[in-house]
Amino acid sequence: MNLRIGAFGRQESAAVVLIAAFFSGCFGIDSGVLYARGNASWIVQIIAVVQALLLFEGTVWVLRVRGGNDLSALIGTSRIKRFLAIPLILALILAAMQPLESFLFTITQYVFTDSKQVTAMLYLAPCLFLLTALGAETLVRTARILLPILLLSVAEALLSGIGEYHLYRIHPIPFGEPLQIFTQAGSAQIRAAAPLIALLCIGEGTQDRMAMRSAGRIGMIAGGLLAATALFALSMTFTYTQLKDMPSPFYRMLVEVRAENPTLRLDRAVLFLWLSGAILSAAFYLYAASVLYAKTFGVRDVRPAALCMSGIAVTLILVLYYDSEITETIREHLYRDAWVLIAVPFPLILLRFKRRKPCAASS
Amino acid sequence: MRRFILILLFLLLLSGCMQSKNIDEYAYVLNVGVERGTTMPYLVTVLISVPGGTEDTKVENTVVSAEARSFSEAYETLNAAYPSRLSFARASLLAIGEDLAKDGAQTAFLDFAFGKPDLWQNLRVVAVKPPVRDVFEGWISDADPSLRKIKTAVGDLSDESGMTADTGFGAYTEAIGDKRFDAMLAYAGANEYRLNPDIVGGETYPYTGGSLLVESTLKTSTAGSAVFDGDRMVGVLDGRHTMETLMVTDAFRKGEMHFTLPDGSTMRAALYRMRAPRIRLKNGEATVELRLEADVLEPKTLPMERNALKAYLETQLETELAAVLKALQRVNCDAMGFGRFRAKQFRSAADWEACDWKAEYRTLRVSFSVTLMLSHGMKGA
Repeated sequence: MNLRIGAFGRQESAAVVLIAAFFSGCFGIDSGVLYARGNASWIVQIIAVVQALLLFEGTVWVLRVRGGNDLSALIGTSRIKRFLAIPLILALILAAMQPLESFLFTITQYVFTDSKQVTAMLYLAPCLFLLTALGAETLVRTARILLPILLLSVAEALLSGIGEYHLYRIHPIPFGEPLQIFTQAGSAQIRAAAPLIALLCIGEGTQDRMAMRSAGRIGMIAGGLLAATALFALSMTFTYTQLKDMPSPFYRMLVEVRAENPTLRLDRAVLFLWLSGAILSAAFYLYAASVLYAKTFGVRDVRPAALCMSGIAVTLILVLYYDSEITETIREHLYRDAWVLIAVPFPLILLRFKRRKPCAASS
Repeated sequence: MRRFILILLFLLLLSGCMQSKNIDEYAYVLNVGVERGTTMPYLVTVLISVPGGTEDTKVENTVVSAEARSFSEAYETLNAAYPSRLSFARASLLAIGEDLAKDGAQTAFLDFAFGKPDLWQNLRVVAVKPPVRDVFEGWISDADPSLRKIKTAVGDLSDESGMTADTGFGAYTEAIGDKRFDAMLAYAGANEYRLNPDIVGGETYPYTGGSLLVESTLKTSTAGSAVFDGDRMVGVLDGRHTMETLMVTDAFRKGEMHFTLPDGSTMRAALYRMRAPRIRLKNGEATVELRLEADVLEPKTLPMERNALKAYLETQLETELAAVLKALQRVNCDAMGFGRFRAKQFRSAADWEACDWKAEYRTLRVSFSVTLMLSHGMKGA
């Protein structure tokens, strides 16, 4: 078996989960959907993180009861569960697509304004393919190295905007529509739960179930809450009416808060730093999807699957880029309704189906 | 060997910027102005800076105009008519002609995608008395070829004196697209033109852009502010009334005011913000509490008993604030931003959107309460 999982510690696992949780939480959003009926984005993010953690804790508990280190142990050889793994693989591919799509748009819209998406993707795709194919150990150790500088850049971006934050912009907070908040939190599960599902897929590499659990907790709480903080900062910079028509709100925030700031024009440097974080997150999800596929269906080498998953993600991003009514509808559904891909199969995978007793051998 | 191949592969990614151009192929647009055209809807005027090649070659500033139906058309026309390729990446000031702003016709013109054509959202926006060309030419000075100081001066004038508003493009578009407050832009004009009077009334000189009685190398002055109802410019506030409006929006830091005392003499005081204004809004009534420090600069001795003077100044400021608000309500402009507090009372965006805030605003009753901490020559001018 060449699954390229390797072995790594709690710090590395927590780092990759943190980065993925932050980038999915902040850059995996569709402004048109999230801010269509007011701005509760940061509340939605917190609720989504809590839901994702409950799902994760439940899975780890089931793993402890039944024995096993990763999600594939729960799937086992059951045909139904194998079938149920497919939506999870799709969910991970979608989770990988969301931040990448956002960055591709930002780069072509604001940086290389004369370039097409395909051209820009030609530069991004090799990094994605390579990282995905190199496997978990490379991914998590790169995440550990990148984490301090990414955190520093996020802190700098958030702190440099303090002068532009105004609390009045967060109003009206839609507390009068709690159902809407919970619906949005449910829709956010693709971006909130994906880091933990990916960690569960590569659980074998964390060497110990308890190490995996604490890495998941640390990474998710830190990354998820950092994303909530960033979303809150964003809400204090723009009103929901501005945000719902804003495709790359974080880049806009980077640019707009720096009018009289010494960090003016550092925005592009920060953007490319964040791009590396987004590629890493996407590679993490795609690799996890490949491992889940390989383990579930008994494929002995993860690399063809990894390259294939990356190819699917890249192709779908480029296809969905075409400005047509159909692609717009698909995109909207992917951001709003794709949570079903996790919510339906995951509880069923956790259940234990009773096996039919073998017939007694006829004497 | 594998590492070597990988390094070679990654070298491909270090190929530098896509479609790079040398810096001397560009001319940089510093100011963009738009006003009503004669044959087409818009007349777009840009102030272009051509960087000097050597130390002996000075930076040259030129003003170029083109009529167009949209920003992108103006961009293409100007590029076709100018020998260098125009870059808007360094543009930092957007001037909106008063003639256009009075009908709100600038909104359609400014409705272009952010980032194209490389215009930054942090442009400083000013309203100007047309022609824009005269305003831009009035700003050109050998002492400040990059116009950097002039633009900084607008911000500084707002921070140091409160005599004008310093509004970025982001805040301007927020005001246009949202009903929480109305835009208030710095007002500029060529000195030779007489501008519109202040909407509050009373003494309009000093401090209304373009009507300053000055002799200067600069032929354009910036002072006072233009106020909007949505995207329509509905009037002008002079420096003093701008200062009072900024006190309520919490954009005021410090500034000087002259007060006429009961005996007819005048007193000059420096005012400082002590804390953020406290605004409460309930059932169509609002209270605004302002706390300021007033440092009496002239005359050298306090002209009245301290408590009596304090009460007199507080009452005078409250009366003036009420007059400014009344004038703003008359033109349907919520420049003081009471809508920000009204929005807090809603628990769903749909309800807030359904609320006709502007109708409520016109009948809003506001009581101002100013508390002054009086000092005498402590901080200096």
